[in-house]
Amino acid sequence: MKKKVKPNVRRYSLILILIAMVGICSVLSDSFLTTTNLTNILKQVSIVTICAFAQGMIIITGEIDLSIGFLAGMSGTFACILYVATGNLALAFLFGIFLGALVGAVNGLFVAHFKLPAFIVTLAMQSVCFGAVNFYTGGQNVYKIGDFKQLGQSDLFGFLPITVFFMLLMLAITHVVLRYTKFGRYLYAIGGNSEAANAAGVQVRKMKWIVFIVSGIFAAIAGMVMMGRLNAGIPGEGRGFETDAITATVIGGTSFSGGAGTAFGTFLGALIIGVLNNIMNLLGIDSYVQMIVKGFIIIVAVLVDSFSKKQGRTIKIMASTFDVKK
Amino acid sequence: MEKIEYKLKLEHISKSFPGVKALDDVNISLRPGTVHAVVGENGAGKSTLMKIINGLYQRDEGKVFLDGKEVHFSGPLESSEAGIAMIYQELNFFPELTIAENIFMKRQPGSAGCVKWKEMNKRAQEILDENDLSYDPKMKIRELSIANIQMLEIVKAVAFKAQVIIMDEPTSSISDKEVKLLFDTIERLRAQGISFLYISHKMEEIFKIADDITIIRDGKSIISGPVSDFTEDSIIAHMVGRSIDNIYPKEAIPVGEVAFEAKKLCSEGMFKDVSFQVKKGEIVGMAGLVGAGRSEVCRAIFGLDPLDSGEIELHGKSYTPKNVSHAIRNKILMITEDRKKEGIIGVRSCRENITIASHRVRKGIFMNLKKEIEEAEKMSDLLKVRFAGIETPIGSLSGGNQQKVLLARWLSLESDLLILDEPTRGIDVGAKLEIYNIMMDLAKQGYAILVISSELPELLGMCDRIYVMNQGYMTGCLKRQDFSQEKVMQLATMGEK
Repeated sequence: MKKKVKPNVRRYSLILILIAMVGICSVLSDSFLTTTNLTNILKQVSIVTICAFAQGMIIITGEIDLSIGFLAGMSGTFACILYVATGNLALAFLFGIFLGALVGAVNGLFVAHFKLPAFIVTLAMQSVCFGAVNFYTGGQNVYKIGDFKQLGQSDLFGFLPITVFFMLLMLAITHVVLRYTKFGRYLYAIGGNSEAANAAGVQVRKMKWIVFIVSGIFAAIAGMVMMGRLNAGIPGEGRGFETDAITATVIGGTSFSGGAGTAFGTFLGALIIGVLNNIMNLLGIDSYVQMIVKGFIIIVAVLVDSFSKKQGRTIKIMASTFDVKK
Repeated sequence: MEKIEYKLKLEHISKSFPGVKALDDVNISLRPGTVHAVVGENGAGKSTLMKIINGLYQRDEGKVFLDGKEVHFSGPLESSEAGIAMIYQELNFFPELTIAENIFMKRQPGSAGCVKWKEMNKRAQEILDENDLSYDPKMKIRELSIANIQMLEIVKAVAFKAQVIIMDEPTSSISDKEVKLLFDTIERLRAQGISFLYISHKMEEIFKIADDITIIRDGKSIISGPVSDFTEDSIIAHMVGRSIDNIYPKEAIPVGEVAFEAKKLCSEGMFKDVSFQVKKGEIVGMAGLVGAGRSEVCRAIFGLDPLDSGEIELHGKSYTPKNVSHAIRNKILMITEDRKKEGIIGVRSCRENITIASHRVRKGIFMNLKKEIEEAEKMSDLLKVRFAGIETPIGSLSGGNQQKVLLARWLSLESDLLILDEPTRGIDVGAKLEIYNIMMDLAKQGYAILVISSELPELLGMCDRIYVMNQGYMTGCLKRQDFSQEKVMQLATMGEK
């Protein structure tokens, strides 16, 4: 009887765009469609993509987290320091996660309980994180981090780079959380209409608090993987991750006004940017020119999105006008 | 020419959208200096018709005559220049700009890109004075109430030579007092020869203000004529296409034990010493004027607003409101007054809107997707929600269907007290009937139902008892055999001048 509404047409359009890009790129450059290069793309996007999953959940909730980048740098660096001091990788890893959760909890406290704008709070925390780690290290990099580098440089099962593994793991976690848990449902509800969510019994404050903590944890994991990959604890690393993460989520179809978006969309968004960066490098395009191109691509992506939304809206209005039957 | 006797005449208007015929041979004749009501259920095509008149949509067939001359507008700008002004349901204004700036938007006096502020404010003051509106033109729009802004829109339209004013449900978000003000304005302008097309659901208003009426059903104009030729029942019958003897499906059913009892509930500055009880199988009404504190009492019980003191007993057990999820766990459920703001999560699917509060479709922290779909299908079938499927975003449904989805949300839970705050506001007659039927069904199943409504006939028709509130106090309780509009109004206005 009842027809199912087509789910997420946009996700398929993203896949098509990605396939088209891969097709075009393989014509443009012989070295594009090789295993090494494709693996490279995945490695390059993995860290920012982990941040993007966090940002995605936050944006779905109708908030924003600008502290992600320097939080990653701070947690990663402190984890390195603890590892160098103790030699205990598990302890260092857990400490990094703890720091992420702590900063997330502070963000959540001010956003959820004191109802301050997330933009301002997380912008301030960005500064706090950067200041804290540079104060402690005196701005010096932490070298000789020994096996900590395994977090970013080893291969699992002989073929799967661990950074890619972490990215896929976080993809799976984000996907399950958003799609299969009540927490995920609540995030969409809050982003869609937080007052209505509250009136339906969702504990909005608590959920917002939790999502900021989750975001902090994701950022910390990204930071530690990054330090492993760089084979050093570099306090200033992570600059700009939050905006790259926003870019990936927005290209991936997450609604900036909250209430809509998926983990896979974000993943595809990140891959699209990754492929774009890669092909421009392969073609030897000047890095400043690359930035110009990227900037315009973002605008085009959002333009396409808003256009398709507008069309969707007129259809919706019409549907509501005529009370679609069956 | 004999056609001049009509200010605006629509002949055989048809309009199709992909897949639907929105309008089919619609005829309306608006006489100069009259108010012409256009009524019909949601989805009957009223809004489309208005958009065709002002040029937002183009008609497929038919003719529009203004002062006997056929006209074709390519957009709202052209139609407003020709003297047709449209006052939308959602008002268009700039909250941070002043009254004068809003009145003269895109018409600012001045030259070379500079605005002559003095002149603009002076002219705005003149316009306000002419219409007995005592605002400072330098006041910002956001300081005004919705009703005042509405008035301003009308005044603005007239100031810029509008001859025909189209109003789309202008009273849907303003208080009774403000409605009176609006009607005074309409009457005054009508006397000046301005014509109104007035879209509304509300029978009361139509009989109060309209001269002529056209009823639209399924995109067709069913009947037109002077309002005096119609009765409320005949209008409803034409709207829904069948006759309705008594629109309230009230039945006498046995009432059970006391399910809910409130004793001396107080909230600083909101309400004081409010006591009442609701029994199983009973539909209890709460009447009162806007601001009497009815919603506030219920919101406090539901944990949405603070409660300072008082006792509540649920089936004899004490209950203290903490927050909404606590209330839901204690089987107190409420549909809030403002559906858009505190009811629906518009961008999400009906499925998610139905199951958001249901613990039945979860296993621990995980959703049971299969069960969730079953539950959503079951509940929406039960309540006869009309939509393309449970994945349809709830925001795209009509008001009545949204309300049914919200009912579905609560009916999938157990309930000791179901509070409905203005359950039929802004929904069409057909859907209202369905809501009444659902209420009656629930009462039969033993639900204890508390209804707040500003439509008195609805309370008189559906309730077993009605509590009346006045300025934060409970002023009385009427049993069904004692019901009358006068008694309720007396209690609701006691002590007021």
